[in-house]
Amino acid sequence: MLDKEFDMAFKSSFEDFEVEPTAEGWENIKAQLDEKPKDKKLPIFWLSAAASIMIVLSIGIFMYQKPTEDIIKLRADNMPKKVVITDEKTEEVYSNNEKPKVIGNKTDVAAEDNNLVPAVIKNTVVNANLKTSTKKENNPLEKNNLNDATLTPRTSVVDVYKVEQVIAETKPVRKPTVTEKMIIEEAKIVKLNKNQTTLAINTNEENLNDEGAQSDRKIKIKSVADIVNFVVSKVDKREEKIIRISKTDESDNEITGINLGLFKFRKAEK
Amino acid sequence: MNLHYKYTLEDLVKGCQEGNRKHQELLYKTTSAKMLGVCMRYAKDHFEAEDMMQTAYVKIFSKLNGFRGEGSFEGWMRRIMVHTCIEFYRKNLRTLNAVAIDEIYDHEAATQFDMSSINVKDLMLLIQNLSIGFRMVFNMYAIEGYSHKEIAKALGITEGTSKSQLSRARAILRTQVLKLEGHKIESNVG
Repeated sequence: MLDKEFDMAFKSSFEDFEVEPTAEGWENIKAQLDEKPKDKKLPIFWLSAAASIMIVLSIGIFMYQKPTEDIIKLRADNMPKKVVITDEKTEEVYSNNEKPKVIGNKTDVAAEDNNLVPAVIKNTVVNANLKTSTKKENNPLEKNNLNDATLTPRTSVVDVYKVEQVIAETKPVRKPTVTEKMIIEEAKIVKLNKNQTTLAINTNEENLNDEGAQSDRKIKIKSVADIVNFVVSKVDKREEKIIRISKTDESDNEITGINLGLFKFRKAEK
Repeated sequence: MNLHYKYTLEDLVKGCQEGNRKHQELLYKTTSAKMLGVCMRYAKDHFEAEDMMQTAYVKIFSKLNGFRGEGSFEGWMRRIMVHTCIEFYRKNLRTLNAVAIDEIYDHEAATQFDMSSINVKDLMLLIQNLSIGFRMVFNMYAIEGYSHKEIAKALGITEGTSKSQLSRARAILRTQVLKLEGHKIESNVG
């Protein structure tokens, strides 16, 4: 008998070979299938740990909500003061800018007035001269004078228009002061925020050197602390996380930072 | 594998894919005997075979979404069965020692036997009594139709080892079959 035949003989004899499994076979599979999804999940310990973290987090975030309002209020209290100062400054700046303009206008007007006055005087003088020269000519001259007179008002109207223009020019500077106040406020807030963030970045960078968990960069999860930090950093976007665990000299997993809103704890870093 | 099963196989598979326990149970009940027959050849006993089969079924039910209907469903299930058996072998391998040489018997290849007269259960016992390495190679090559290359890859052995194990397994089985035959003849005469 050749090897192939021998193999075939075995194969054919096993072709329709069936063995009835024991009765509990399905129950075992069912049990394993029911277990499967649980196996994929973390063990009960981790579930409870995660649940407790979530509870603490939610409490912390909830508590953090109120302080933020307070902080905003405080900022709001502080801000107007600062804004007022800046406004005063700006007002001063504006007044410095405006006043000369106004003065300039006034002086211009005055100058124009002065110009006008001599012109009128000159006209009158001319008129007087002309009056003395010829009476006939006086009328047209007087008309001219009148024209001049009418002209001068015109010029004055133009001047007024100019002044108005100047005012109009100044007006957009003046009027927006209210809106600009807002803009300046906002700018200030932004500046303050920028200052804050820069400060935060500085501290953050300092923190990063010791504890990389807060950064967005890829964290290598090696320990329980890393998992906690990772989860916390995903959920808690604040600078100071609700809880921070890091490696210290004393132990591998030590809580180095707690931020429950009102209650904050931070272990001094090296 | 009756007609009714074939008729509703698609529905069964669909139901199983949706995680329907009833459908899963039905699929198990209609296919388990055959699948256990496969696992039995790879196992040393009924107990181990059932263990393999149950593990394979759990895999089948969780991997069922990966079955795209290419080829027969039974073939797909069988492959999972065999793969599970290979996994069991690999696990066992760590605790088992190399095959003892005295297990090997040489016999004339030309000896004739009438295999059909031998009960399949007896053949099964022969295979199960083979040492694990021989059993794996013989099953995979002679019955499942794997190539030596595939066997070598699956079992983590060289092709040469696969070939030599196959010939040794055959040699052992031949003697055993002859013994059975002789027993049969004796019993018939007696």
